[in-house]
Amino acid sequence: MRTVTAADQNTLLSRPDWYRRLPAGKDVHLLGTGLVAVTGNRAAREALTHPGLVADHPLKASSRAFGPNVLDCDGARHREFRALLAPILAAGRIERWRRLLMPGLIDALVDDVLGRETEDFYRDHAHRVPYGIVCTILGVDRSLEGRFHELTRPLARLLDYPTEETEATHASMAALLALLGEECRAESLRPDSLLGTIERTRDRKGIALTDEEVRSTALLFFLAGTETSSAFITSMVYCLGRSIMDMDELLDESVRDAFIEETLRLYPPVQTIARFAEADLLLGDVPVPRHSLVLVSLAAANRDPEIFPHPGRFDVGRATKASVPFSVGPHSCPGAPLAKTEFMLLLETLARRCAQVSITGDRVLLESQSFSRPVGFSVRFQPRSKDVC
Amino acid sequence: MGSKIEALREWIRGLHDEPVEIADDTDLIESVLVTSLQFVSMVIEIERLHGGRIEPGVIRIDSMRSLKAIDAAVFQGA
Ligand code: HEM
Repeated sequence: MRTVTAADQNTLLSRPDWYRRLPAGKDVHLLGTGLVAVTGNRAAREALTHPGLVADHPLKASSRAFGPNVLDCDGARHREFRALLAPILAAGRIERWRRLLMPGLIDALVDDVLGRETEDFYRDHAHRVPYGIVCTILGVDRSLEGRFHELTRPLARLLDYPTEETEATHASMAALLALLGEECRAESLRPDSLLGTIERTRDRKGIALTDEEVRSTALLFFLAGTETSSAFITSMVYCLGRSIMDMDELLDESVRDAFIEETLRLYPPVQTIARFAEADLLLGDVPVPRHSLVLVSLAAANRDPEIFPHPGRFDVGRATKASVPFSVGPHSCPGAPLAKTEFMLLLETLARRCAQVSITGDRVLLESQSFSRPVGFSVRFQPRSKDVC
Repeated sequence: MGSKIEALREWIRGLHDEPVEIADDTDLIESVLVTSLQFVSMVIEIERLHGGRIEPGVIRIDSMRSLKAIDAAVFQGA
C-alpha cells in the first residue's frame, strides 16, 4: 500500500476536503506509520462503533486543554457524562425553548438580514441564534454572549487534525474556564440551567464529578452547541442561495426537513473525527496497528458513491438515511434534536419572510474540519412584499 | 541518557527538514516538535525502541512530555 510522506500528511490533512485527494474506490487508507484515514460510509460506521477504537488519548490537544470531558473519554466514565447531559436535552425542554426562546432569536436575526446584502454572514449573523440558545441553556448571563463568542471561536482549531495550538488558544481557554467558574458559583444559578441540572443530576445519581470536570464539560457543551450550529446555518443559507428552489416550497415541513438533511449530508460541520486504536485490529480487511490515529471522514462517508448516487449533487428529497453528520456510536451527537428544531424554525421563518435568497459573490471555499462551512461568499435576502402567515 | 533516548531524539529530529534543538526537558508536544499527527507514531517508535508493549497507564501527558520524562517512565521504568 502506498503511504504519504510525513511532510505531505500535514499539507494533505490541513484541507477540510482532504478525502478528495485519496484514491477512489478504497474505504480505508494507510497514510503513514500509525496514521489511518477512513472514507467509505460502511467503514466509517464500523470505525465509529468499534470497541477497540477509543476517543481518549492523553496527548490529544482537546484532552489536555479542556481537561476530562465527555468528548475525550470512553466506557463507564463516558456513560456518566452522557447521563448528566441527557436531562438538559430532553424533548420537553426542547419544546419549551422552541416555543419561548427560539422565535425571538430567529426573528431578530431575520430582521437584521432582510433587504440587505451581507459580505460575511458567518462572522456577522450565523452565531446569533445558537449563542442565544446555548447561553440560555447554560445559564450564562446573556450580556456575556459577545465575550463568550470572541473567546470560543479560536478554540475550534484545537479539535482539528492537524491541531493548531497557540498561546492565543491557551489564553482563550483559560479565560473561558474562569468565566464559567464564575458563572458556576453565581448565586443566581437557575435550577433548569445546564450547570444547575448537572449539579442536581450528579447529586441524585451519585456521580462523582469534580468541579473541574463540570466546568470542562460545560465548556465542551458550549463549543459543541454553538460553533457546529453557526457553521451549519452558514451552509444552509449558502445552499438556499445556490439552489434554484422556490421559497414557497419550503413552507412545506417535509421539504424543509429534506432540505436540512441534504445540506447536512453535503456540508457536515464536523468533517473529521479522530479515534485511537487500543489494540491491533482490522477495519474492513485493512490491519490497523495498536496506537494508530484513525481519522474518520464524515464528509467522505456522506459522499460515498456506493450509497449516494451522484454524491456531489444537491438533491433535496434523496434518501439520506445513511448520512452521518451527527456521527454514530457512543459519542454520536446528543444535541441533534435541539439543533434540528432550531434549523427547522429558522428555515420556516426565512421561507415566510423571504422571497429569495441569492448568492451575489462566491469564492467556492470551505474552511475548518471541526466547524466546517463555506467562506468567501456574499448573500442577499430579498423580503416578500407581505410575510406569509 | 541511554542509547534508546538518543535514538528517539534522532527520530524526532528526522521529522523536521531544518535542524532542531531538543533538550532533555523540552516540552515535545507544546513546542510542536511532535505534532498532533505525529504523537501516535512517536508512541509506536518508543515501543519499538523499548522492545515491548507500553501499558496504557504509562502513556500520560506527564510521562510523554519530554525525553527526560519518557526515559524515566519507559526506558528506565521498565
Ligand atoms: C449542526 C449541528 C450539530 C452537528 C452537525 C453536531 C455534530 C456532532 C458530532 C459529529 C459529534 C461527535 C464528535 C466526536 O465523536 O468526536 C458531536 C458530539 C457532541 N455534540 Fe453535537 N452537533 C451539532 C449540534 C450540537 C448541539 C446544538 C449541541 C448541544 C446543545 C451539541 C452537543 C454535543 C455534545 C455534548 C457532544 C459530545 C458527545 C460525546 O462525546 O458523547 N451538538 N456533535
